[in-house]
Amino acid sequence: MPNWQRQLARSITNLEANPEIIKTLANYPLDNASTHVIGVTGPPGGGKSTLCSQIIQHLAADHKVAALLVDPSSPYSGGAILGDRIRMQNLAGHPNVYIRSLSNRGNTGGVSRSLVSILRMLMHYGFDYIVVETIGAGQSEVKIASIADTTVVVAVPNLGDDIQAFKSGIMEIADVFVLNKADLPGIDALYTALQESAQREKDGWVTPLCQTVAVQGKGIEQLLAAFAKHRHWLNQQDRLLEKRKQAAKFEVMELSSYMLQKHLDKLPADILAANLSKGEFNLFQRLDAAYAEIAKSLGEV
Amino acid sequence: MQDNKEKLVQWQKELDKTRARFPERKEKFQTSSEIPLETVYTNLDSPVDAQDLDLPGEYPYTRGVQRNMYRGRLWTMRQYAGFASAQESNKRYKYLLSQGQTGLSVAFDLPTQIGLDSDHSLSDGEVGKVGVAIDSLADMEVLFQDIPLDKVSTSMTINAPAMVLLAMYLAVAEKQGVDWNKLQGTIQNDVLKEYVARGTYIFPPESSLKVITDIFAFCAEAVPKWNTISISGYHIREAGATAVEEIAFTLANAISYVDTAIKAGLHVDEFAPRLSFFFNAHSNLFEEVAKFRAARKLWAEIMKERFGAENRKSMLMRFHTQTAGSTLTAQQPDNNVVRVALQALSAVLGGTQSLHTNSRDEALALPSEDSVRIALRTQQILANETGVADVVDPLGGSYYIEKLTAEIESKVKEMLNKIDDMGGAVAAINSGYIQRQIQDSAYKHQMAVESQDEIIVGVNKYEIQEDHQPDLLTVDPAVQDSQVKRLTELKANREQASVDSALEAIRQAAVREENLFPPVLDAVRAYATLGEICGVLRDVYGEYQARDLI
Amino acid sequence: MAPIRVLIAKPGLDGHDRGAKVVARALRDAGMEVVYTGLRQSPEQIVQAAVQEDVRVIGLSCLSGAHNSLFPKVVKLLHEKDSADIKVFGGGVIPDADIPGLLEAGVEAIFTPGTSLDKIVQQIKESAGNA
Repeated sequence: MPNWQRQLARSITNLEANPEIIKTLANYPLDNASTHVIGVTGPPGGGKSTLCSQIIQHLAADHKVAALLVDPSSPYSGGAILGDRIRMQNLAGHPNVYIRSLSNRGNTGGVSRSLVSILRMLMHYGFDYIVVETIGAGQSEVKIASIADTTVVVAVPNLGDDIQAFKSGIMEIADVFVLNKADLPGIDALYTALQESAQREKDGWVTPLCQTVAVQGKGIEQLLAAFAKHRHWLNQQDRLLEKRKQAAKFEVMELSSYMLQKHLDKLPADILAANLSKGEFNLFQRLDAAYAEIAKSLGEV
Repeated sequence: MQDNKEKLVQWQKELDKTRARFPERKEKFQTSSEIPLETVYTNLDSPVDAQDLDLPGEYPYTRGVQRNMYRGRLWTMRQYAGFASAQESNKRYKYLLSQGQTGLSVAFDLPTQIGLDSDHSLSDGEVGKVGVAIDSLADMEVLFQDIPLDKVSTSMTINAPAMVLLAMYLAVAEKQGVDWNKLQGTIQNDVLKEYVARGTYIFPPESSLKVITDIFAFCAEAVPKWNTISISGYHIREAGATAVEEIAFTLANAISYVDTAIKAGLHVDEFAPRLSFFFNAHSNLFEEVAKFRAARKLWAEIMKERFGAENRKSMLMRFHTQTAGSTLTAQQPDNNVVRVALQALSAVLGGTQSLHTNSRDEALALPSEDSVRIALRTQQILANETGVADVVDPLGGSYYIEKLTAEIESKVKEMLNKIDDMGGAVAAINSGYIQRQIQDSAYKHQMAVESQDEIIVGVNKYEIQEDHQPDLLTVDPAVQDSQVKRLTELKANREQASVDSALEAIRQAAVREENLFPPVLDAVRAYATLGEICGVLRDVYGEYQARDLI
Repeated sequence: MAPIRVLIAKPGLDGHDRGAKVVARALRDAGMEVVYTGLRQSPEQIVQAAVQEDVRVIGLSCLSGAHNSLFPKVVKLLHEKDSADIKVFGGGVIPDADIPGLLEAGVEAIFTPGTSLDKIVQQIKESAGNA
């Protein structure tokens, strides 16, 4: 295992610990078209981990692949059990593969706020593919859609979730749908239910509906073909560039809110409260005015 | 009746006064399964109708599977043993038999349990450590050298590769000229618990169940006295489960095995008489006794009502018990002798068919000869000096025991219904439900120990400055080298062509879903190694990918 | 303060993971990020994971008696991968007599049966703090 992995690993730790490091990331562009970022989400129990493991294994035959595996942190202690790696330990020694487990560090939305910065770093290290496996706990874990080039939603039959639940929110973000555990009963019902939403067209892209049995490695080739097709579509008309711009915007939004909170958090609660009730020029008005000023000045760049 | 109820209320009032003045030792008293305990139990608690006559050897066998239990024959004293080479283990077996042990119990090393030969890369450092290393029939022959298989019953703790080791045992019997229908013993062969509590699985659940039913079918004909499975709760308990969970998860697994065998075309009364169980004897004496009684009743009812068994032998829950290893401490190890004695007592009062008592040094290493002798003597003292074996189900009729038995029974039923709703044990394992329950209980227990809600003498109370540890058994790392050497010699001296064709026959049988036992027997006789045979099956069935959740 | 990152691993073939999982949980409850790699890990896989995950500490659990060969191997591999700053702790069924040898081979400390979770958490915090 080469030393660059050690360096990369350390850099990621630094990014996570200190998002201000973004200042130095001006040198790490996000618009690198030779990397394909694939985000995988979906409710727990869907076999996301096994599916990601299969995807990575196939891609790693001829490409450098990085995997970011996100698990939730405990709201009480801030700690986390990062267990997604278990499914991929057979890839641990593969020279083309780098696997990193991350916690969402308390952020809602399924990923941590430094994720995009980490993507920059990985692109800089020349990975051909980056697979991000996010927490897919519920309808709100959809931030990955603002970050990834290709967002994959993984569903399984009979998960107990009402099929109705699939028809809103999380459905809309899918660039590719995967029905995993396709050997289970209930697959046909789910397939039919999803077809309606799946076959919707958005800007010329028709979301394909793929069936897999990840545990047996079935359907992976077709899935990768769907990825390749989406990538090809992105490469037309600057769509990829647009996506990366959105990702950069997402990054800015996350980091600016982090910065504001970092400063406000230093103040005791009663000072914040006092400023709220100030009347004419209270805290919110001050923030509003200050940020309007900043946003205006950005527009002038 | 009303009089008595009033008396009790009065009594409770007086007690409350006392408690107000003198607070009790704990906030609440409960068992390991969180069953709350009253101050005292009376005939008002008794769930057993005074008109009913509950007898041992009669359905539902709550009080015991035989009418006269230990008056007829004591439980089998069966100490789990094995380490290093077959030669060393053979010596230990002969020692134990000479000291009065009445049955053999073979411990295999981890590579053997996982179907790997001693020269596999993952076997490094593990050869001969937790049991004996068996790579081929050649090793098995040494293991049972001068031990007449028609006179001794042998229990083998082997699961995923059980078919192969049993085939080797049968081949040894052949060489000794012993008829297979004389052979008595058990193979553990319980793969479902491996996925949740013990970790020596190889293949995924569905294929493993197929192998297990092949064994049932083969032995029903060819080795009729052999117990083809020992459905285990011991390890589930060791992994952290409570007493109720131990029984519930074991019975859920048992139900899966019976279901699978029936689906494979076997009739329940054909194989059920040879099903046996393996439980834990843990620290809470009365809960354990009640647990064993409840388990017998539950199983009898499941077999009769759920599976329609008609042969009474199908309804009998025969079980082996081992005292709880996880309760033994590294601190003040002699205390463990006391722990084991009390746990063994609960097993005997609970009507076990055979018993293994742990040795005092087990938190530190495999037992030394001295320690294992004391463990055996513990059983012999119980049997001969205490009188507890002289009456069947001596605690039967105790208000407390009867109430506790009924409570455990009802809680287990609840859990079984839940697992049924999930689709059975395999579904519950695949979803991680069972693993989560076990881990939660384990964590709860540890928290209780950390906060001193639970006391472990010598560990979080009554600690001393420890002396150096007593002399412990060590396994010579040279065992690994000599096993590897033996393997090389074996491969050089055997007829490779027969091995190759035998392995191919196994592959064919696996692919065609035929009974694997006959081709495995042929391969074993040709001196194919364990690793080679399991390698073929790994190719066909794949390896189980653990779904670990914390 | 960024959470301390720890790898909990079970080297070799031992399948008894109750202790490892309880420790992992305790570390999580103490605010650490714990990567758990499951059963049957080779020393190579463990070190690879430790480096990629940039952990401060590796906790090895072994109850099969294979600790004398497996634990030092992990330490040795860390050195080879220029990662000797990652501290290695061990636990399981480990007789006192084996401890000096393990410490000499570079293991930071051995947590014998009965060690309180508090102690483990404290020691790992100190160890990570001294990086």
